[in-house]
Amino acid sequence: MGKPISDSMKISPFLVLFLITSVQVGVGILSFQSKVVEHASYDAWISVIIAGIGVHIIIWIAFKMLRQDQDIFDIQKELFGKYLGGLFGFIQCLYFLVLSTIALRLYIEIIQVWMFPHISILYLGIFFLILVYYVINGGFRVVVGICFLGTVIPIYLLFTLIFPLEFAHFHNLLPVLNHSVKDLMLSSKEMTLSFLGFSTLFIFFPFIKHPKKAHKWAHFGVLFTIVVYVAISMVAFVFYDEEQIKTVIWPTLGMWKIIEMPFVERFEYIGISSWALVILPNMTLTLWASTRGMKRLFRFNQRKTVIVFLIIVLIANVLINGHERISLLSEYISRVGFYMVYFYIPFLFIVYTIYNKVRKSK
Amino acid sequence: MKLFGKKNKKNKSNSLKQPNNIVELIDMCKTSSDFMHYEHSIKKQTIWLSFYKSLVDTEILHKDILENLQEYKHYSLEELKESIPVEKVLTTKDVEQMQNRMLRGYILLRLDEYDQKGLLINAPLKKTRNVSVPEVEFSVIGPKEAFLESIDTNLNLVRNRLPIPELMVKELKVGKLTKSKVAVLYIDGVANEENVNTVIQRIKEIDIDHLVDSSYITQIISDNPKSPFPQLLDTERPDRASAVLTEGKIVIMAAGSPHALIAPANLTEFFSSFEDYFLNPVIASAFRIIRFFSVVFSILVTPIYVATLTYHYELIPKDLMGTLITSREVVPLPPILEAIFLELTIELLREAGARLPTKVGQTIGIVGGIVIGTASVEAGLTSNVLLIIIALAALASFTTPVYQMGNTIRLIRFPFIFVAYLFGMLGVVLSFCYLIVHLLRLTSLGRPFFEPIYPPRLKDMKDSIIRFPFSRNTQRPVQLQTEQTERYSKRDATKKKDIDE
Amino acid sequence: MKTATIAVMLSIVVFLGTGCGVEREIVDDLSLVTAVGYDAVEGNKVKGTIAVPNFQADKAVTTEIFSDTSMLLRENNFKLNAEANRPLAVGKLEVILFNEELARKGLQKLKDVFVRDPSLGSRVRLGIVEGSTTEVLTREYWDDDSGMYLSDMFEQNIDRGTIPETNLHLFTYNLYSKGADPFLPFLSVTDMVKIDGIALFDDERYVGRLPYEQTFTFNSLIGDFQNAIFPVYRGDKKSASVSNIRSDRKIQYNGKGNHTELVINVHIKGIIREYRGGKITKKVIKKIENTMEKQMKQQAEDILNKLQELNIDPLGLGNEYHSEHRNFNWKKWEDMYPNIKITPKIDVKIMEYGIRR
Repeated sequence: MGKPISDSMKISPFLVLFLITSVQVGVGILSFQSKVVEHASYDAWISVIIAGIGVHIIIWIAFKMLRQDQDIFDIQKELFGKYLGGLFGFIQCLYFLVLSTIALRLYIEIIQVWMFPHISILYLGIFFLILVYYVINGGFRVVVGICFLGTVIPIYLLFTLIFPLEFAHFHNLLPVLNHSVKDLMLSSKEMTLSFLGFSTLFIFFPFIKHPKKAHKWAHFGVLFTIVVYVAISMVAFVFYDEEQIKTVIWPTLGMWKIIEMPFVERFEYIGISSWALVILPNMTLTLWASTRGMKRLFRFNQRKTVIVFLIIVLIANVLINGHERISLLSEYISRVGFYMVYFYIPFLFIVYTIYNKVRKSK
Repeated sequence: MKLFGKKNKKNKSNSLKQPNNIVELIDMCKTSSDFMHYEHSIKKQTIWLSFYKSLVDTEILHKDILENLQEYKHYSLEELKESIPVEKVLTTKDVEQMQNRMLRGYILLRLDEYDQKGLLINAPLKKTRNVSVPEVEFSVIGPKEAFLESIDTNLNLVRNRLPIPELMVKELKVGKLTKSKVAVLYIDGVANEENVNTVIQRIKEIDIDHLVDSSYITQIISDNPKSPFPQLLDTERPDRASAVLTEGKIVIMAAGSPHALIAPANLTEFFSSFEDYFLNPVIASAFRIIRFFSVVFSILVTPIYVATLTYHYELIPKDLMGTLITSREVVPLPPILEAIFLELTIELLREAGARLPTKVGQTIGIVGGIVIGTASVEAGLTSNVLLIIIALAALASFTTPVYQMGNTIRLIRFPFIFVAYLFGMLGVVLSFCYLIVHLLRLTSLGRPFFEPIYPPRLKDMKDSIIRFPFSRNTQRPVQLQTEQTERYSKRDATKKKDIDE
Repeated sequence: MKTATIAVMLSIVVFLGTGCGVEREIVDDLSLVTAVGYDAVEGNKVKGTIAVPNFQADKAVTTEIFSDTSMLLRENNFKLNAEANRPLAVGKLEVILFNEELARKGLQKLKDVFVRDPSLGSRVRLGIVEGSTTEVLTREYWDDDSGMYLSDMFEQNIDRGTIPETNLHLFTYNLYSKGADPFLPFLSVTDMVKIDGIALFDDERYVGRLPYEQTFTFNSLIGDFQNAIFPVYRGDKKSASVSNIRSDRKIQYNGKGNHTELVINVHIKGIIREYRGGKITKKVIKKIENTMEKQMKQQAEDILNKLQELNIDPLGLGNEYHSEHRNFNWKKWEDMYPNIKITPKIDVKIMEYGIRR
């Protein structure tokens, strides 16, 4: 176990809600609809709920497994020893680093396609990453703060969902449950990229003041995410035709196109810009988790690691170009995340429970 | 106190020549022509008086001191002391003390010119204006008293409002040369001790030669002195000062400054006028919300104009398109230059208005506003749509009740405009992100500055953007971590209301 | 120290950024295209016409017209750019018109450029023009430019219920939908440009049109609409105009097992706006209601026959059918549709008759 974290650094349990939500809601929410309908078509909102229940289970496992002031690195070290445990930890750090990179890259892609085709990634990236550095440098308190505000302020965007309902075809959702369980499960697997990132919980866990109380809030956080996703998918499903939605890359942004208010038309430009506030917590929390992991594993100075990692993120962002490559990478990381969350963590839980039982009986 | 005195001595030895005995002291002082040193003969004896005539009230000297000495002859200083009806009289041999006291308006009285021992009598000349109406934080209703330059009057104004023994005043001296008195006020048993200690510690650590106003203290002891945001709230209202003391805050006063400082402060306080508490909570809340929106409007509207006109013409409603384009068509400048030009004009007007005497300033403001505005539109330098926007933004920035915050708001608009020019709407949002991250990082005396927004504390929300009735605000702000969290019991508050209604 | 470093870094970034980076589109330095029209010319080519409003200082607006032929629409834009004094920008496009001949060839390929371009809104109105779109766009419309005028014309007609709501999004929706076919307003040019019925599409191809007189009934078969006027003819003495304040459509499925019979129930609540026969009594109302029901039923049957004959489904019956039936098969529906029995059932209720008896 590392140095215990002083009480003043810890966060109130209910802020876990915002941590979980802010890291789950990201670029995925702008585009998940067209992927998720592939198997379950317009029953896919059920798949969203199924995927959400999966997340609930993992959260439950997390709170069962972790004790106060303990993170995943402690457990891995205890179970697999210094080297193997360290290797696993290192992989997780890399995973979060890639997650952070892809969040930024997907966002910049949207900006390139929708707003500024000529924008230089390097230049926008630097601007963005200095901001990320500024947040992380302020410590976990500020990271949580930006997660909180990054959840609360963009809530106003949810109200924009009312506008597309003017063109709603509600019968699109009927008949409900017209697909096999297999189709639903396949669709919910597609959902995973959108729900990824919440495994940062395993790293920021020791920063929670009363982890027992936080358990409920973590579940609320996931619940809130699910509600948002289901709402957005439902609105998209009644707005688009099934064949039409498959041809649209960013259905949520497409819905914003229809918004016309007396003082502003074409809301998508405001929406995309505001989305920076959603991406920021997404990036900072994963990057913080990644650098925190490096500190726990190798006792690196976190301030320095952040700078190194930010440079890596920047270079990666500049190098990954073109829609095809970006979606390929996000596909890969989605798959890795899927196995990590739904296979590795339950596995770790089972092994750890057995290990504890054996140790106790001794 | 002791510690401070020691430090002072050390400082002095570094900087100024120190007299070794009384003769040297007198000789040194005599070089200044407002120093009086003479033999005074009264009916039965002669005494030696030394003092600065610019610091001593001669009326006290003649009426209270010398007249009482005439009745009989005094053989010792102790006897003299008894017959002088002034409260602060002390006998001393300490040269340094003599020097310090004389510089504060004491009269040195000795029986003989070469006596080592002397009597120090307090007879300071206090030239100060009368208590007047607050000008910076003016309120239509409520008390009309404002702090003065005299710290004693200020303390009096506060203590009159809080006649309790728990109100503590800790006096410190700051400034190598000015030796200004700084008072730290707090209510013992309410204010968090850690906060009090932090304040005193930080004030003690101030190393500066002159301190003429409390705003020096703000700049020096702020947690992040580089931030454009003021992190200590200043007020000229004694009622506000005493109200925040009961909340558990700490008030800092400096001699010579009509502004007291309030610590720790949070962001929302800078947007609440004290008059809000004199108004019905519904109305006060409505005003606060208006103020809040006007601040947001003031910061964002020009950047949004620049962003929209430079990049996002799609956002403009089709019915507004004609108006905007016709007004812009003759303007040769890109939106960014147009905006900067007008913003600077407004800043110029404000600056000119602030530096000139009130009456002239007003005229300049009105004339400048109308003439320059209309002329620049007619000349085709700016569009009239922008003129309206900028004027509104300027107006909105003046709704902030705290002057220091108003300045900040007007200033942070400029980086927003520049970034909006670079990235359009995205730039506006990104600069907004920088702003909130900066606010998140700020602390005031180590307490979060962005509270109660973050960390979110519902209890403190009751008196932030909206104000709940007094009966609901029964607890002291969580931000302050007070020793006594309850102000008055909730039941009492509601009960009282029942009878009244 | 840290803040200072960050500030310095930021200002460097800002400084660098003024040089490189983003393409600026300053609103008054653009030619904002408000309307485009496409006409078929010989071969594979398309003649494109665009209308650009020119805002005068005295608030008057004139329209500039550019026109050229090409195969691709973007190519067309590119060619037209050579004629314009400012870059053409399509972000504020309000109206897209196609001429009848071009629409007959199919719009699928043409429409692509509009749904691919992020700067275009989804509320762009589409219309089919009898004759040449250039003529529609070059016409003078008082002090409005043609794009704004046409857009306002479409909008007010949709609000008044004379044509069903159409825009780029809905057109695309119906185009992709398996259980619906698109339709667009049809414009004809006489001494005025006017909306003259509804153009019907079989998927992407224009196949026929409904006359303006049938739009009320067509609207009522599609779904909710309001404010339109239906003339009830009962001879010179007893004719009346009824405006609907509310109308809704419900579909009922009859027929054994297979649901091979559809009933479209239309309920209309109306107000008498005009009556030639003097005093209105209960009996008169009843009679007007009955005549209106009869006339509408006749029209509805004509419309439905036409639609089934053309094998098109602008009413979206396929989608409705799909939503009510599990184990639905699109293939089967396509076979079934031309022969399915569709009965319109109209129910009119007169609620008020103005401020006179």
